[in-house]
Amino acid sequence: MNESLVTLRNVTKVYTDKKRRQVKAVDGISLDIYRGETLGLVGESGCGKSTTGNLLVHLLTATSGSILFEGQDITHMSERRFGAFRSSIQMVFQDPYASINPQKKIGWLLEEPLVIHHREMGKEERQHMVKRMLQVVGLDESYKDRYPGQLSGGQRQRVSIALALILNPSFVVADEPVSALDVSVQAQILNLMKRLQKEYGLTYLFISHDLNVVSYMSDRIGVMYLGSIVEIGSQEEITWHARHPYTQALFSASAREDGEKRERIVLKGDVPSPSNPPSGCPFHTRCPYCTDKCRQEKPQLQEISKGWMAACHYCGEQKQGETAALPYDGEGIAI
Amino acid sequence: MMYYCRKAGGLLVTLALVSLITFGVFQILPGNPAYIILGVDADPMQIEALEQSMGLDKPLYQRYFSWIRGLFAGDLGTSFRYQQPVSQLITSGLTVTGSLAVMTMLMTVLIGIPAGIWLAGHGGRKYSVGFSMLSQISLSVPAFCMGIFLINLFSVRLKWLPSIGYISWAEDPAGCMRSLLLPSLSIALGSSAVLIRYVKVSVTNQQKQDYVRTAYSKGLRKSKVMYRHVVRNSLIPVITILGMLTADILGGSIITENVFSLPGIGRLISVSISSRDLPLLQGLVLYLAVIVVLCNFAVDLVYSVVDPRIRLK
Amino acid sequence: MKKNLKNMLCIFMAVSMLILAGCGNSAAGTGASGSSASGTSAVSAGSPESQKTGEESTAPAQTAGTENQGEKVVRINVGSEPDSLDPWMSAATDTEAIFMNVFEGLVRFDEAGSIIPGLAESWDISNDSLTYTFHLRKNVTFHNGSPMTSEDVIYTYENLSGLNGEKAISSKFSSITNLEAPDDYTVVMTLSDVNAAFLQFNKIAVLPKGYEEQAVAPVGTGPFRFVEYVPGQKVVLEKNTEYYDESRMPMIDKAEIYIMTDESAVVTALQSGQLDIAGVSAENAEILSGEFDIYNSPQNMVQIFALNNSVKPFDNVKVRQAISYVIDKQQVIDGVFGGYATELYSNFSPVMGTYYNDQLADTYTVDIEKAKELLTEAGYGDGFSMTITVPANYQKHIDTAQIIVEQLKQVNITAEIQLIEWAAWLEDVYTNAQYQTTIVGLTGKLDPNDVLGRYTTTYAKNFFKYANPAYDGLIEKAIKETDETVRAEYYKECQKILTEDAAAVWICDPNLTVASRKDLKGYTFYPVGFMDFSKMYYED
Repeated sequence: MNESLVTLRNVTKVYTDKKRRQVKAVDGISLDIYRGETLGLVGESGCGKSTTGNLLVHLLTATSGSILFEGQDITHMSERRFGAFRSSIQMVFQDPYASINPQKKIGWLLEEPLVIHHREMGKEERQHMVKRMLQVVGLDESYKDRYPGQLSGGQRQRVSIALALILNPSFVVADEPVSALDVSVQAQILNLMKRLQKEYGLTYLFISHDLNVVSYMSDRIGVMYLGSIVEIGSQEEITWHARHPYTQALFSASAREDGEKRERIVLKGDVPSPSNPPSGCPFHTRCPYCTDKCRQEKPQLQEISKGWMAACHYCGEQKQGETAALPYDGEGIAI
Repeated sequence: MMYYCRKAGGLLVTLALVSLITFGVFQILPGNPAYIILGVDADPMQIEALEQSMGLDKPLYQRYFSWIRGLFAGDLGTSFRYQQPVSQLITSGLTVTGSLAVMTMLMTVLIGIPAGIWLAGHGGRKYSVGFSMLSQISLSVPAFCMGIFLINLFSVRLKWLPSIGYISWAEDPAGCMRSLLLPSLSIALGSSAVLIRYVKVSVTNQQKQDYVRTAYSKGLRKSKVMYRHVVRNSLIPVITILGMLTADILGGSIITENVFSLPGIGRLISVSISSRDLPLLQGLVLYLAVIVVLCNFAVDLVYSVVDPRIRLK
Repeated sequence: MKKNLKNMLCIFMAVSMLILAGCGNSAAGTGASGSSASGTSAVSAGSPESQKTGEESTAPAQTAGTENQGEKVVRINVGSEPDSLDPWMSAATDTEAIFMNVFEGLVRFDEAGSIIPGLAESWDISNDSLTYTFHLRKNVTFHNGSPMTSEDVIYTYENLSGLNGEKAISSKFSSITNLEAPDDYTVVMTLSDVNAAFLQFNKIAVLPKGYEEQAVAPVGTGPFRFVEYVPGQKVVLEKNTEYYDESRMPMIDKAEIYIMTDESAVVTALQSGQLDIAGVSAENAEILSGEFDIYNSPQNMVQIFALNNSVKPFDNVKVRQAISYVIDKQQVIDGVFGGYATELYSNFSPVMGTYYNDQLADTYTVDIEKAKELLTEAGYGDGFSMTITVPANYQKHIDTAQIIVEQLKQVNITAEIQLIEWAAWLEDVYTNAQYQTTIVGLTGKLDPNDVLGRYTTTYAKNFFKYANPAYDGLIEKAIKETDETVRAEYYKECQKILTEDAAAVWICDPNLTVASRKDLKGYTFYPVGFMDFSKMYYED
């Protein structure tokens, strides 16, 4: 059994918006990320997946709950102490155009993390690392003297990946890493990431709103809605046999195994504002199966089978013969 | 190459137009320079003699063209008022105004940039409000008012600094700095307020950029992030405003120079207008136009050196 | 980042420290290079100066002017640039005020305006007043070392009168028909017309023969030599140690005249110790009176409220007289000049005592009823509206205009003030007489003909447009009259005519106020602008 590399226990992140309201960007989520796997995190924009990623990299501080990395509680660790972990936890950002300083040469940018964390390295050694890193991500070493403006989107994203990997991390949060790239380039980058994962034994948290990409990359997938995890399971379970009505609707938009299109479930209504979340189940306002219980009680994650959980009052273990209270079948096709 | 040729051509056209307009305006304005110089009770023969030496007895177009011709030979004519070559007067005025500009810009930059960066980094509500008030005051109090206040404080009461006069650098560097300190300060207080705003906005914008987040994620501390990434990048748009400020000061602050009795370009301008000294004014106008163009050009040049994005286009 | 900021801050503070430290001993270091803070040991050493002035706060680092390595310097201000260094080309009063220290003519004048010997120690005038014989001093040298002889005088007058075949430099000398130098120290001039004012024309500078550089490096015979002129900044003169007249040898070594156009800058310069003496306004004199000595004197100027005699309704003498009955001059004197001015009744100041008609004071005492009567007689019983054109460069005239506007309301005259630039005033009002009324100051002259001759019909700049043949005739006679007493009577009569005709309203002769360091003495007032440095000295 794989050990958990990263664990979140009931983590909450609250903001105060301009109108002095409390906004729960992340509302008490708990999950484990196991060493060597890719956990995908999906959801609509504003569901809190990016925030989760930022919390893990210590760009944000959790309001409550705990985050454990290799068993150590890093939730409220001071920056100085966390410095030691920085090399282990890295992030790849979404926008390859904005996330690299356009005024600096690529070589300089790649050297910087080494300068910060590995003072014992001499200049020559650093240069050597930089060149190697460029090769690893598939760029010629002459790129170290170029400026970001001279690179294409795909090439820049390779640099982002290089930047993340140059410190030899064990855990990488990839926040929409290919969303800003052309479809043709996306495949290249994704394959690069997969290859690197194998080579270096990396653990990924792969955040995206693109379901096909997530399915392709992930071993397990977590679905978020309004700051909570509504379903989490293996890639196959989630993609093809989703139990939670939201997940079903979500994945109804992606292609079927055999390439055929599925029947789209179109949800009524808009996502509620995170500053004013609905009572009970956060999804109840749009759920076609909403009942009174849903309106009053917030469902906890219930185990459907090993490793597969959903937060819904009506999607627990199905017993044979029992008609589910909900008119759907496991294929995710609405009746 | 073509680019520079076109720019130069544009400059020439601008200068020609500007000189024509100046010339024209003076013909419309009432006022005979000979009278102004010699005074109300001057002997009519003296007036005539002076008018002749000024060439005022010749027709308009002749005067204009002889001026243009002189221009190509590098001769800007002789000032009516001072009876000296215009180019000489402008050069000596430029020495003063130039020194003033250097000192003022130095102060402006030394005050403005650190303050702007600090404000962007620590811009809590109370600091912002306090700063806004202060900068409003600095901006609304005119430079000469500030000048008079400073004179009163430093020259009259404390007797630390001279209130009038200019000592050249060649003559006495320390004295030069002392004589320029107050005038520079009175201008710099206003211009640094402008600069602080620009810097603050620029830095704040840069701080929001994604690459800053990247830097933090690599473990860079805030101060290092600011210095290595943010500040360098945010100073680039500030170059434009610096160029503008420099051109402005080099144009000679007429009132400040009057208050401090500095014999600079500003003084020359006000004297040339009130004494209808056409050759001097033409020369000055030309000088001003050239300064503006040069400053713009310098800004472009600095940009191309400092900002790789522009260099590589 | 913080380190960098700290560095910059340190540098800035260090630089400012240096500067301020430099200020503390501003005196000590700087040499006698004409810098405004010429050193003094007055502050530290217990020199006489500092002890004298010890009780006030004026033991400033910037006090100079005395004991600068033994040099006595007087620093004074002037309001405008010299128009030309060449005395024959220059006509501006400010320029002459300075350069009368450098140049001398055959005659000079004293504080009362009387003509006294200059380079000529005596002269004879023929009976027909057409021949002047000047006897020159024998021990005079020019600043360039060459001795002055009749050759130089001939050279001078040939140029002035045009007798050298070229254009005459000055119309005043166009009446000279012949010049002769019987010996090295005698010059004989023959005129074509009698002119009683001719003698005083000869205060014009005598220049060395053959010297062509006057406009750049002026050379004269005076008690001071020219050192330098820095345009926009200052004129510097130094003592002429070879001056021929021991009794008039200067008691200071150097004079620095700073060109300052801003009044408040002058005041602060005095207060900060950068000027030793300066002409200031009456209000500022009040402020300075504790620390400085204040000298006041009428300056032989006529502040005139001119009424364009060629324009309705001012072409009617009754209207002009009515206005004369309305204007309360004392109000202007008190309101605008703080009491420091002398009331005038004609176009002549009491400074020129010999020629002044003192019988005119009661001609137009303030009488509103009389004024209204006159206006009704003239057909303006209901009043009228008019414009007062005032040149914008002199605040006192503007203030005067405002008082007059109020006063005129009493007889239903609505006056509007129109401000124009000096240059525009010269053209529109002075040259072309395109105005209704105006307020201006006419500067003092030595000869009454220059003052009263303005009102003749032949005078090109008679902008008052006064036309009176009888007056013209009187002026003509006065020019030709060589008997001083009779001449004086003529001029007094002229003043009377002007007043009775109410050719204009003459308000006052404002005082010239000078503020001086308490240890600087000898400032002398003259009927014309003249900074006589040879009389100034520092009290030890």
